[in-house]
Amino acid sequence: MIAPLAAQLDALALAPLRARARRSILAVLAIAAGVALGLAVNLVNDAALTEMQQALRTVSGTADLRIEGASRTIDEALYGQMGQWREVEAIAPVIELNAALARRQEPLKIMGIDPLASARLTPQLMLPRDAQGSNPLSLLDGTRVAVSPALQAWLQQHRPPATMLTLSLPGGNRDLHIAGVLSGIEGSRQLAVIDIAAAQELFGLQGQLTRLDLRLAPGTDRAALLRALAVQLPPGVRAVAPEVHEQQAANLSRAYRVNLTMLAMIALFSGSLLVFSTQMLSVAERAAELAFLRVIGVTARGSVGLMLFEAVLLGTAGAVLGAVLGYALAWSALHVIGGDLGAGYFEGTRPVLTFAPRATLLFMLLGAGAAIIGAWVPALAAARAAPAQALKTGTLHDGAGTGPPPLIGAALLLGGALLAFAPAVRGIPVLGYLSIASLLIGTILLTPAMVAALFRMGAACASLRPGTPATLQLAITRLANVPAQAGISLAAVLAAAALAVAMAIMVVSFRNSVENWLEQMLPAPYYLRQTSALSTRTPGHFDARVQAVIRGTPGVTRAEFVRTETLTLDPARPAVALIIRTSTAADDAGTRLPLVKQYPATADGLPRVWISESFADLYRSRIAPSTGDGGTFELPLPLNPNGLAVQRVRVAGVWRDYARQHGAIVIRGADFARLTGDARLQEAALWLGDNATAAAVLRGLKTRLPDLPALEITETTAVRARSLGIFDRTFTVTYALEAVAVVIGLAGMAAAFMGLIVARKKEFGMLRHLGLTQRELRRMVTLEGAALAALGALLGMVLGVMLAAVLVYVINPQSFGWSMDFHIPVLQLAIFAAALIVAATASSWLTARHVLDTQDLVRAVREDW
Amino acid sequence: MRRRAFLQRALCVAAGVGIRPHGAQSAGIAYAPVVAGTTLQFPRDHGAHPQHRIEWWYLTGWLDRGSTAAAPRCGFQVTFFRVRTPLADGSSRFTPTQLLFAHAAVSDPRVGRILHDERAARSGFGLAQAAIGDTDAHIRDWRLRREPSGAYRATIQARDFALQLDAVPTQTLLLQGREGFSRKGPLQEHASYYYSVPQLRVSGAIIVRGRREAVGGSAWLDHEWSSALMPPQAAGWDWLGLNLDDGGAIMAFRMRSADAAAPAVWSDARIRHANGQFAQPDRSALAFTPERHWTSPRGARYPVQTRIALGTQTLHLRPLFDAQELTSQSMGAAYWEGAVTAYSGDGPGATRLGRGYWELTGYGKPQRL
Repeated sequence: MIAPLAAQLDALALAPLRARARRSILAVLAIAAGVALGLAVNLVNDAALTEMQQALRTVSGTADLRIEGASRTIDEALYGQMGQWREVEAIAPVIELNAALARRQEPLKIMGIDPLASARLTPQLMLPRDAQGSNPLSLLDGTRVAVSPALQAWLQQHRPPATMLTLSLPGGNRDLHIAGVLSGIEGSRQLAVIDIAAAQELFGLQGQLTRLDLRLAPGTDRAALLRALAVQLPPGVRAVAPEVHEQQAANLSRAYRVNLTMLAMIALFSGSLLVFSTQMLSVAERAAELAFLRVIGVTARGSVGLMLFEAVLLGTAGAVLGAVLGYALAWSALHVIGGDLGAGYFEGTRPVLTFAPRATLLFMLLGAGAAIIGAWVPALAAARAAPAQALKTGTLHDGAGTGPPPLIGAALLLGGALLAFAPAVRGIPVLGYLSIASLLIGTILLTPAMVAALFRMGAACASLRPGTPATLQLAITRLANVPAQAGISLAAVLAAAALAVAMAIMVVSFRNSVENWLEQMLPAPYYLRQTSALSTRTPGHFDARVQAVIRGTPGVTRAEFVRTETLTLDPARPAVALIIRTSTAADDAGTRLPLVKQYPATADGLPRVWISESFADLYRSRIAPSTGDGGTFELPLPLNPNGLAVQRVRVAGVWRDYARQHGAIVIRGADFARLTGDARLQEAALWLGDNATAAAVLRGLKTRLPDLPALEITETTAVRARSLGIFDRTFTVTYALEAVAVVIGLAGMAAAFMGLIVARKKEFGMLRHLGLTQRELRRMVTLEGAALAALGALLGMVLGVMLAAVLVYVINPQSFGWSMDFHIPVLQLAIFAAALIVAATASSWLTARHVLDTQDLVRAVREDW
Repeated sequence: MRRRAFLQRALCVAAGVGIRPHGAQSAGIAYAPVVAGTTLQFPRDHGAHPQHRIEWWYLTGWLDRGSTAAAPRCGFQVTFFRVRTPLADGSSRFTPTQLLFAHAAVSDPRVGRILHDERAARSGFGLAQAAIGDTDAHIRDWRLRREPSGAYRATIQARDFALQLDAVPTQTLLLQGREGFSRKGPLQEHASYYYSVPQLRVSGAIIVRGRREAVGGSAWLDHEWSSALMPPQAAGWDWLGLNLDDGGAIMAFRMRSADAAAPAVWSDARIRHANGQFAQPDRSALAFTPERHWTSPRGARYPVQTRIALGTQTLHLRPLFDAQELTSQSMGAAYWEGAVTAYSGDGPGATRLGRGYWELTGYGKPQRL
């Protein structure tokens, strides 16, 4: 049975597929591209997240609970207090910080632990016993350090013979002996472990800890304990389950991952459209063959099955190819761009690609599904055709000439527009994406009607004007009367163009907004700071004396100061930034921010703060509203060295912030100093006099401030360039996706067009009989192609602008909590449209020449008669 | 004398933080010496001596749960160990100048192998400390403390068992060596301050495998401190602390030479009869003769059954069971620390003389100090 079945399959399904191999290959490639992109984005993101989670587990071990500072360090006395709790089975004090190494740019993570206390909680941070006599307690004398294998490798490469680790500290360099390698830390994680006493003394953190790791006694109700701790811990200290940090890492990149996946889905949609046009044309071409099958007894259902089977073959081929390509793409992305696909979320990790059976299967099914959906309508059309007539004429008369009712398209467009106003679902703009899909499909369904209307008008104009070349008239009339066919070949190019335009507008809007934002955020030409050895504490503080010295240094015409603290307002969310800013002019920090909303001053005497858009979005429920202004909320202000003072503040404005996705609050330096008694600031923005150079000013500052040796001046232009560089890197992947979509769209259009021309060879034969020359025919076909491409580009532009509006005003604010100014890059889009039309015209011309010159048109007329 | 395996662990720690294992001086600080003729003063000397390099309080004994076949006697051990590192005080309260280790074990024949657990911490923050003035050492909720009444109270919540024991003295304390000055080697400088409290009457409860049982029994407490204990040529030691059934007490130890064939580097014993009379066997008359060895899963071969000749009297030691080897995770050391019964002979007709603990260190792999 098998051999005959295979032969049957070959005859019915495979042979026709082979015959239309070129078009089928395009459809397969389109499906493969969609599958590959979607799969790759997810694989890369998963790999990065896994690596991130491993990294988190390396440093938090098997702790059930962590106690940490909401803003900064915690008082070490908490260690003694928490250690008395009956529920606490094991407790370990930890200092975790980023330190500067001598002659190295990137900071190094340093863990200060008590090897005796951490043995049970973070065994991977214990130095193994080895033949050289090192053991977990070797670190106790404070002069030795244990290093991760990756750090050891780095040291061997850059600091041979790798027996020392040299820290760069405010007081000078300090050498630590390497006591051994922490073989339990896998992967690329660079990490050094020292004794906690040494950590406190080296980094000036006496009395302070970063956190406590706790293991709970068996049977302890963790949720109840967390509630009890929430009440009993001092202000500014919180207890969190370690998985919260993993969740945060996942949430961090979720929106980004969803966005890229959606783009991949749209590529898949283009693939689906290509399958649609492939199969639609195949139905047209094989009308006689299909009719013959029907006549010899294949039911309508059977013929639908046959068509769908072909689609499944195409889809499966695309899915398999796509899966292979997806892994290849993911692999190269991880090696070239990094685990965050250029977005900067996972710096310092090197993820490893692993096989993900579920994601692979899901995307392969999506690919096959896209092919089946694409083939559905053509299959039904083939089944509906009347066999006898089709057999005689070799064409289908199924009403495909007019296309789908325009009402459905219009309804989808309207629905899409309405969906754009819907809110995000759990932080993801699902309905926004649905809106994009509706707009896209609606437009495609409306295309035939628009084609008909437009070209009928064109035909009327052309016939009114004498001297219109016959070829042009013929071309326009033809398009006006078979709008559905035109729509089919347009769909793919329209979708691709619209998406490319939408993405281009979005990216350009974003980039312009970021550039403006950078200018407003970094107004001064120079910034002065102390190179910081730490990230947990901020040793680079400028107190009032230093501030005065800086202001009085020759060459400095103006200096403003900034300081950034981190605050945790909600334990389930990452910390927000508290930015303390001074300003010399009118002393209003708000005037120097890229404000999107500003509220009039009130006379209630509350300190005023300016919150970022994402803060306004994330912490909306905390802000007590009041009419006419931004409302008030309670702000925990960090006290030195630890502790918090809770203060009610008034929102004076909302500003745009692209840098801190988790929210930021700006408060005036004077207010902060008054409320906390802490007038220290961190960074100085400097304006220099005409004759002053940065180098000279830095020399002057170092002479006047001999106690601050690590001063450093940065040129703002460099910072801006670096920021925009990161931005462009982030969107590299987006550009690649766009290019793929456009190429697929163009190829699809060419394929569809070629199919159309082949199907119309009897028509061309007739025209030849009527006296048209081969050259005139070619011109006519090329004109048709050009007209279609122009229409596709035009419709794509219009739709693209609509989609861009959804992206800019809905998707981005909902995904990332930031707004941007809409900016249409007119010139770029015009060039893109022209290129699209030229490419489409050229491909029509090539197709026309190829088909018309190779087919015997004159004899074609005779076929089937 | 306290030949604790903890000593070896302590020396490992010392090595880890840069102490040379022999010699009371190190670069950082000067340790207090052990001087012959010093009079120990109580209760002050029950407490910790932070200026000495090492110190331990060691409580061992036999527990009685009614002693039927279903609930045989079991052994227990609770040790707190203090190490002074050579580090000077720093500006951080975490500076590890004093380290504490605790070890607890239960030898229950129904389990058939020793159950043990350990804790380690640097002193401070109210979480770990060995108090000055009277015995009170703790690491978090593990604690050994001498109450004002003179009774010792041990509280241990371990992974596989728990102990809550009161040990009440029934006799005066027993100064070892010469009035508490206990020599450990041929040189005067290898010595410790050392006293014992034998024949402690125990009451309390133990939990083994989730089952809580009231217990009674007898115990032995050792307290010893020193800055230079072990002669360099010694490879390990064998030690016995025995509560005799008649109310007497015997302590005996030997420092073994690295060369197994060579005679012991040093040995000593002290006998106190029930009537309070002391007997000090001549050191030349002391002889430790292994009768049966047991090889641990780690490959160490311990003389778990040994004959000890004390001149006038010979003890035949038989372990409660063989598998009483302890392995310490925090220090990476292993030793045999087991409940033993002493008989007058090795035949079936031998009379039982008493019960105690027998400690064997430095077996298996040579100790790296």
